[in-house]
Amino acid sequence: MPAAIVVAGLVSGPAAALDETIGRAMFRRAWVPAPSATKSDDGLGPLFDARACVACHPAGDRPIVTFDRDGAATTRGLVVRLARPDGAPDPVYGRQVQHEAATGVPVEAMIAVAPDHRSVAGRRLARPVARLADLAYGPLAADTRVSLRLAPPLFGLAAIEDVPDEAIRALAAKQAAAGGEVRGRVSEVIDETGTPRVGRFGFKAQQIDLGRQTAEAFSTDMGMSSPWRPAAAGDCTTGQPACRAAPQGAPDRAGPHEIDAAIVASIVAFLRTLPVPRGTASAEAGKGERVFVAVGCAACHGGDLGGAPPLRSDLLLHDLGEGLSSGHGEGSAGAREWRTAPLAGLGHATARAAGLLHDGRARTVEEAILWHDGEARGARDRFVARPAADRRALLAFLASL
Amino acid sequence: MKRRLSTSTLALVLGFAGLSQAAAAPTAEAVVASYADLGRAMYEDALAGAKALQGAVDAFLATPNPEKLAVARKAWIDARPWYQQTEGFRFGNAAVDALEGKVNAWPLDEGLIDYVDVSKYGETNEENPLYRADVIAHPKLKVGKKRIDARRITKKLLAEDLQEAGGVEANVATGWHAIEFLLWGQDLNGTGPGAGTRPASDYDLAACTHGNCDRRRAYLKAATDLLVDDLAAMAALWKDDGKARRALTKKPAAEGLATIFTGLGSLSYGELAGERMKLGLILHDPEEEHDCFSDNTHNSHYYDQAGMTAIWRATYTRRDGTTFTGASTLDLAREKAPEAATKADALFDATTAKMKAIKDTADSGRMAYDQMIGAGNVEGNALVQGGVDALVAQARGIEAVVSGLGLKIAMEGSASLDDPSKVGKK
Repeated sequence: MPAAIVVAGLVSGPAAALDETIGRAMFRRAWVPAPSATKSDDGLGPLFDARACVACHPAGDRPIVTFDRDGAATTRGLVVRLARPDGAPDPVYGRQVQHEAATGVPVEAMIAVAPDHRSVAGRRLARPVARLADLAYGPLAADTRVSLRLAPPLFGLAAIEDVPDEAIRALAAKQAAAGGEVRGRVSEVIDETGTPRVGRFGFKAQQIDLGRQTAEAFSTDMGMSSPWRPAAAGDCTTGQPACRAAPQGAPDRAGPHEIDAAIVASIVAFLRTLPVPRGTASAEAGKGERVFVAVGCAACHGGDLGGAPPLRSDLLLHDLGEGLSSGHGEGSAGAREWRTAPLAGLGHATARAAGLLHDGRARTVEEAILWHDGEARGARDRFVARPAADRRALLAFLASL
Repeated sequence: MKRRLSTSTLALVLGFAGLSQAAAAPTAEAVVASYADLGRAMYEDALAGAKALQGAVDAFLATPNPEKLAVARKAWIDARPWYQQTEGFRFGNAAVDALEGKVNAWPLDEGLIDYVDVSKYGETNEENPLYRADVIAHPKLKVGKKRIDARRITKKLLAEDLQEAGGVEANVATGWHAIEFLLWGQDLNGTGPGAGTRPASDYDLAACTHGNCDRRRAYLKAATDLLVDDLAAMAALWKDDGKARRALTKKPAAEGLATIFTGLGSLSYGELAGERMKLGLILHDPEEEHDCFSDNTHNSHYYDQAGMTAIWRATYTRRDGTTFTGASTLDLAREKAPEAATKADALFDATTAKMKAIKDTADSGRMAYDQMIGAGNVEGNALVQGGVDALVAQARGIEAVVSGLGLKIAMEGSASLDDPSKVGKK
């Protein structure tokens, strides 16, 4: 799809007026499977993990996921990604396990999550591991890897989208020239026009802008097509005939897609208005910031790319070690590579006791730090070696963001 | 409307200078006082309309035949303009907005109240466990772990137990739209012609259709009586010692003016142009039609605009045919910011013309509002889009007046700027 479509809804002026209002309504709207009386709403699925954006992003925030005794999630927001080591989707189940389906289409699998305990930097920590049961379309491919993703918070995204590609490339060049332990890599993405762009959205920085990221979520999480993800059946593969044959939405609407460009643009406009929530100020934060810089956190989580409050991410991909590995690549990122998580708003997340890192495994900021390995190992070890008062100050600083 | 305006609430902050010198212009105090008087007049008319509806509903329940049902429906239609004209008071006046949800909440999951056609409405809704609670057929309900005794259908049951039951805003048990559903039933025509076609016999104890006519009668009676009570409470807000009037007059006059413009700007922009019109147009969704059971949306939109114009000019034709006039924001702006005032005044007229075009088309019987927003209806879509564009321009015109008057104005991109926790809530 031409990039111009994305841009059209984002320029200010009369055409864009009301977009945020509309986008907010769309964000909360529950879509329904086709065919339904309200054609405007249908097209959900046939396979899906949620009916509405807001289901996994409550109030735009990280979800707090709870589980029953069997390890099945009782709230939404945690999804199971599938990929083979080279990043290709599972030949039958596709790129994600959808745990709900339209009537007449078998649900892909039951998902349960169990803790896997490991010793990390001298501490016993747990990471969630997905177990799939009742696989309705036969076994996964032998080399398909399974990994979990927690829905990310949606605050401060405009600041990320507005960073010029060159600024991110310049940071990568700077880190390479410094020759230190940290050497971030640009997530190279070729857009539809063949232009090289810098990926920056998603845990692996696979998406170049919010329009495409939104389209990706509509497709993978809700099974709805849009100009950027035109497959009406979303993540259904040819190995899932019932899903491919199920009714699709959209025939009554103006365009060929279940979600048209105007809807995506309105959601983007809405997302761009969501501000970063403030953290909790404290007397120790100033000292903590000095520790943060001294141990080397700022090498990746520095304020170089601006933002108000500062993003505190270089938006580059870094090898974070085997403990955090997803087991498979995604886009141009390898299994152990992750985009530096922006720390703006971390104080709010800490205050809510939301799970941190890509699968929500870290219950505290300290646990999240300890999981850092690979390029971040030096900084992590220097943090651990610091006196308790310094560590406390650093955490107070992070809580203030 | 229950949907909270978020995007682009005109948040007006005072920072106001020099309004009281000019001889010809009314003082800000006078404008605010006349606004409160207009509030009283408008809400008294809305109350009178609801009382007329109450009379017609009582007559229908006494003799539940198609003729009396038609009279009751007409009374509802006739009452609506008087309420819709008050909507310019809603935003900015907290006391009004606090009562508004009980009176005009929308959209509603009508399956909470009565039988529905499941093939059109759907069986379940993930976000609303009471999506098909059908209280008319079920004297006992459970909301979460709480049991509700609905054996007697009373105003109290509707207002306290069922309205927003389970914290779901689509559980609208009271107000105009609940009554609308009880009089018309579901509009099963989608974006095709026709409104709801509930039979009068749904209320006939002797020849009852769809069951539970006694309970349906009790519901209609309670909902109608409650509407009259609530509108009486809204009118009382504007009496000499009424809560809304007191809140307004105890503010500095500049802030009082800011309240007036907040109401006009917010209704024009985010609420009417955005949530009630553009959203439906983008989705081509008849469920996004404001008065969806009765096909009366063209009137409800038109009279919103008529009310806003009346507030701007402090000129209003009352239900009894007399005319209210008073010191107006227009008069004040003409002195202090003549260019912006003239421009805004013309934008009010232009918007009225666009809304009139929608109303006239619907009144002609050629095309109802839900058909206008249907996919592929080029002419209808353009009519509604014309209304949206005019309302947005009107909101901009109001902004210009506000800034011309030396009021400081912050045009919010979204309520979420102030409170991210509101984002996920309907």
